[in-house]
Amino acid sequence: MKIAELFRVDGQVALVTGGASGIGYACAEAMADNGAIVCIFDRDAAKLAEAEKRLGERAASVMALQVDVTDRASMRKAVARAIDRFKRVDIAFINAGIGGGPGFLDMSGKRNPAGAVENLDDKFWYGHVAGNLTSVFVSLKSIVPVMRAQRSGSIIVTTSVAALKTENFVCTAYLTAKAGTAHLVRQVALELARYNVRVNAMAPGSFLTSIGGGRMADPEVQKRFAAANPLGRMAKPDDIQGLALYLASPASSYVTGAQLAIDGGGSLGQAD
Amino acid sequence: MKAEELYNVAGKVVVVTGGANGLGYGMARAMSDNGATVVIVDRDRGDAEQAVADLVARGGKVRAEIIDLADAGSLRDLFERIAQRDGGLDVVFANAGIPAGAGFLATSGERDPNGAIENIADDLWEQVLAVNLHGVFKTIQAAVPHLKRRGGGRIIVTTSTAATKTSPMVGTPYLATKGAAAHLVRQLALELARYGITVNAIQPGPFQTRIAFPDLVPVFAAGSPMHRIGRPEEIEGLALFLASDSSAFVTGAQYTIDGGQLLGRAD
Repeated sequence: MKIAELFRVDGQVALVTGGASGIGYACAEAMADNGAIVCIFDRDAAKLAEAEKRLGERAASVMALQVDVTDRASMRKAVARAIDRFKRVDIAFINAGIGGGPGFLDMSGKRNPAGAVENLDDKFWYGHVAGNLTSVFVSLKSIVPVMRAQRSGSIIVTTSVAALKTENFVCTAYLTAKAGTAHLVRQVALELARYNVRVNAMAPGSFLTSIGGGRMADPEVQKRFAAANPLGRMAKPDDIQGLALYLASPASSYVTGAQLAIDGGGSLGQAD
Repeated sequence: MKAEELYNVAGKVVVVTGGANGLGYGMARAMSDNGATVVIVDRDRGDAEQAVADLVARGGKVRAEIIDLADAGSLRDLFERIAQRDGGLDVVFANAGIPAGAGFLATSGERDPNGAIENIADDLWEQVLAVNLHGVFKTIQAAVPHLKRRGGGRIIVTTSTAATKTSPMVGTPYLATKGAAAHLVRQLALELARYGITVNAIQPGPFQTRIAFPDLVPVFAAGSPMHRIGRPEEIEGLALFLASDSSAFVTGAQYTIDGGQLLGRAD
């Protein structure tokens, strides 16, 4: 089959949480560039307005809503507004997530007392669970009934390679929350397969985004992340687009419950 | 970016082992329908020539090479010939694979003595190893110098969900060889990253191909969350993604395409 037909999302309604920046924005743009109607949710009003403007130049139709994805009522209302306007949701990137917090080693490889398990501030533990695990659960609760009634849909959750392997300079709470999310994806994929709703995870490695308070803007941090994978570089948000469109479109019709890593080989260990 | 740009494979030189049938044919077709130059490598001349005829009729640039993967010398010569004729090499689908006879359980759920470990014939073990593991290894060995010369490239190995999970109705040598191939992918990805060569696995669950024994098909379909097995054309999108520049940051990965088989049973 020709590429245009395999990866068709023309006229489909795509929702992206955390869609105003980073990986989420790149997913929204991939949808817009390929003819989908795009609905972005984000908690940052300024970034949302900017994203809405830029997407509007490419997309058939754009809706941008300020949403706190950890808040059930906020999410429920936002999805209802999207349905009210567009009547359906075909593709959902459940992408919003947070980073930050100390790892048990610092960026130079020395022990970091703030990241030791017995010292880790509760705010990181509860914050990561809320922002990376509960938020996905809350999003699913609003989106799944719509797709189940449609008997169709593709849900793509942004997890992380931190869900699949350990990482000594990343906050323990982050890894744990992401691992929980990865397993939630598998279980929900199993539950929804009979309704023709697919659920998959994209597991990114080192992508240059503003996650974690923008610490990746620091060149020293970038060097550390780049050195942590065999390809020796960080990815740009746009590097997610091929995978995002694959999972959103009929090209992945036989794929569900998959955890697809896109990490420059970072989970393989060190070569030279 | 538009899909046509993201998954563009026009002009790429692509080799597909076991490309005359099944998933390999699906991969070859995805490439040739979208402008790549495709070399189908297969041991079956009749099937390979039919595959070429079908794909050329669709406007593809395709030819066949009849090679026995057990012959390392002829694999090396093959890649030399391709380099001479097509100017280089971009993508190798190390896809050829064979089944391994009875599993230790029959489809009835009863023990099948033919599949019991102590009864598996030595020559069955060696035959399956020759194609599913040695064949993959030798294909990659022969291809890598050409990919290095090109400054980069794509190696895509067809493994199986049987590489990761047990499967009592599938022959034990199949599981063992697929598990080995999966780990070879990881090690080679680590080794070859610095040369701009990515190495990934396509990890299929049950598909409607010749190696899906007819009595196993309903068992797999019933046990699958989607309650069906895959159609070979459903491999095309994944083949295009992994062969194209849009997967440049993907290496050492196992991309599952199994209708949810690895998830277990729902209703």
